[in-house]
Amino acid sequence: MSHTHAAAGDLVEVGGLPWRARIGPYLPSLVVLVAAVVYGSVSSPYFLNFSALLVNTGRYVEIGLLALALTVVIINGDIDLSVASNLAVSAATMGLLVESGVGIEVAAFAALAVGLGLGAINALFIVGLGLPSLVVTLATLALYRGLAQILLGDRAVTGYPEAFIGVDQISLLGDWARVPLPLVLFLVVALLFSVLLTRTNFGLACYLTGSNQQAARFSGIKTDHTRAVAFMLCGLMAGAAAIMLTSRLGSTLSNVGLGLELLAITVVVLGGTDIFGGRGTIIGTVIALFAVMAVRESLVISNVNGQVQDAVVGVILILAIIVPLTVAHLRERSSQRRLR
Amino acid sequence: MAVVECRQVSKWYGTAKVLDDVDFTANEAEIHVILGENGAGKSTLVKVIAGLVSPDRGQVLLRGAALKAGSVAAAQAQGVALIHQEPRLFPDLSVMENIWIDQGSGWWSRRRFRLSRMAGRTRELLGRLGSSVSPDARVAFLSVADQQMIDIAAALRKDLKVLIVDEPTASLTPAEVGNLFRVMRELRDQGVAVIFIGHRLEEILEISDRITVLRDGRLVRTLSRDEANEDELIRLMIGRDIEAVAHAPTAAVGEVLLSVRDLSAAGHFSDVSLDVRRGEIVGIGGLVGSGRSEVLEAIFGVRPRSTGVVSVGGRSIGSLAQAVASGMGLVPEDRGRYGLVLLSSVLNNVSAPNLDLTSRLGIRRPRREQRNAQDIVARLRIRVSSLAQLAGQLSGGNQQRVSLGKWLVRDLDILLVDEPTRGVDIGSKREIHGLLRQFADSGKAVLLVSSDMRELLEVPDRILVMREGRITGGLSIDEADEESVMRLAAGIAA
Repeated sequence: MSHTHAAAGDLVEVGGLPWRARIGPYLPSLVVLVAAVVYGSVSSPYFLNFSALLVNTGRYVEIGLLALALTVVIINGDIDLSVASNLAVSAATMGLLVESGVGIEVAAFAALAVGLGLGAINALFIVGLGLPSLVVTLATLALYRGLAQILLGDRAVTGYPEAFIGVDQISLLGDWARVPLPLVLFLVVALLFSVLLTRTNFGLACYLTGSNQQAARFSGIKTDHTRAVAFMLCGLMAGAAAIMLTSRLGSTLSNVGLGLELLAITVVVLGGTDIFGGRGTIIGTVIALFAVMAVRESLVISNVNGQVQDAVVGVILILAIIVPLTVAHLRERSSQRRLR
Repeated sequence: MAVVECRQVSKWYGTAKVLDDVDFTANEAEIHVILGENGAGKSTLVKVIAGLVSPDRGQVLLRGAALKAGSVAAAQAQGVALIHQEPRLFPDLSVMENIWIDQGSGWWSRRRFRLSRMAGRTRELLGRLGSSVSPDARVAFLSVADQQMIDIAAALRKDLKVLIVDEPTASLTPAEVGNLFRVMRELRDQGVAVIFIGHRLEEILEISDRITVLRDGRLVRTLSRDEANEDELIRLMIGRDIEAVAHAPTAAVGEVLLSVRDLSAAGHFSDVSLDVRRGEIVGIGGLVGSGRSEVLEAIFGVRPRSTGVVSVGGRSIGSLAQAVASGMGLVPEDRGRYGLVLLSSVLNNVSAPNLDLTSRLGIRRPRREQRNAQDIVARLRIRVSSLAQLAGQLSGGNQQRVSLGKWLVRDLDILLVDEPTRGVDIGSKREIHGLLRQFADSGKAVLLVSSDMRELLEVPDRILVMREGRITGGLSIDEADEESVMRLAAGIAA
């Protein structure tokens, strides 16, 4: 490439970011990942059991699916707090259909459809009526959760067919490297999302919309359409996560997935996506998911209780945001001093 | 006596050297104009003086004492005030609150902050500037000119020694410019060193005592007003001669391409009808706020219309998507807010309106996008380090070229341009005029909104003038002059 440019003379280089700028957004999550793995393996000889680690990933895939779609929504400059509640309604719908004798395939499809539909309702209020996504999805966070409670009451739906239960127990590649099926599915979906953001018109539209919605619109980008599609994708992923979670748990309660939205948003932000939109990557989200997973698992293995785990994740998120900013600030000051 | 003395000041941004060994002096009781193309380093130089930017080499002396580099507080203590092009005020606070905003925060100073007395002092300060805004008015509702006066009033509160005014006149009406110049002269006569960054040569020759020309970060020459004339200044600024666009009335004006009938947008303008033919540049003049920009936005479909029809080649255009599909492009006035996504790359900005051309089934084709962008960068002579450079890192003139160039990728028929050369250096200005002429001469249509009287009289083939949301008249280029345009714009009978 560079040769042809030189020959053409007046063509400007395509160029790219220097490696430091490329790797910068991933640095916090990578550091957290490495630190957690080191801590885990120091505190327990069983931590670095590779196949056990892999099996445990199954439990984080639902968070991962939500985080992938949330990455797109947040890049757009929006937020969706209702994903976990949406997941509950999708799961409840699936449970009720299975109870009434509908086949599991149809019920699972219905979960996807309900997820998509609830995402579309969010989009209608946010894009159609021009309301802020934070407020709308805060409302639907409560509304959808309430809907799940109305659908299920205090009951637990259990009548799922044997074949459907335990997707996380299925593994590929046999016994020597037990790669759970959910992990594979997650990585495939992550790849699709990555292609969506980096290789398609929709992806560019997301970045431009999140960076400056007015300028994007003035450039002929369909910003409303872009934002609405992102919310619907989010709903669709909530439906998919509902299927995975139900298969893993084998039963459905109305409080299923309670609080998952916060973990998912944590993963997205730790992964370097700008909470104000315009910047972010799927790779960052994937790395951050593994980082959060490593933190949790290493705390579990050293017998730290659940509440403390939550607190640790919170502290890590804050540090992950503050430390890089401070480092950049110090570096700038020291470089100024050197030049003087 | 020299109040400001810059000694061998150099500044890099990354690898780009924006100031290169600049030795600059401003004396007390003079108006010193800094002139140069966009990207020449004018704004950086005054920011160094105001302590907003610390130089990588060299130092600034204020009244003989070295300025602590990069300290705004130190510069302010020495009586330096910088008035930005877009005043940086708090829109939701009152005029008075903005003027006294930095009045100490300690308990003692707050005790002394007596509202009634402050209102009186505020009025007195504004009175000195010939401004009649009420101290209680909310800044959000004031014009840019009034806001600049508030900025200056805040500076006058202290013992002002150096007043730096950065490109203030782009958004001002002639009367407002006149008032600003009067204030500047008064301050000069009181001994203040006034440093002024400007673009309009007529203005500069009128106001300046001395002129310093910068080019590519270097100080080319400092000359007194008597030595200066327009051609000489242009030559110093760009280092070569550029011909003004000779106005050749187009021979072949074709059929009507863009037709607007009874277009209205509630609260902004009403009953606007106009035609633009192939090969024609139609200018729209008028005062700021007369609804010109809003008309362009409504034609393009980014602003809701209440009534009216827009059609291109006979087909009615209802939405933004249809407007783009019919070959229309809009270069908005505020390129930072609407024209470009500043935090995105030049490549992405150029690609944004052209994704339909470069992609297949929604999948982007990077090679095509790169080729288009390289082509535009070469054609419009845009100065970028690479296509991955962020649009926000470019100088104003280059940003404007990207904002215009992204539409030229398409086989466009109609270009709507709003103040295409505001805040743009004179070299870029003439090149942009040349591009518009060339575009029209190839059988296409241009609708140009401009507040720059010379631009309005030189570039278009005919002129429409708007006042208070209505078109008050049309002028052929032969009958149009400054006076006839102003009469229509201000509503004075001939």
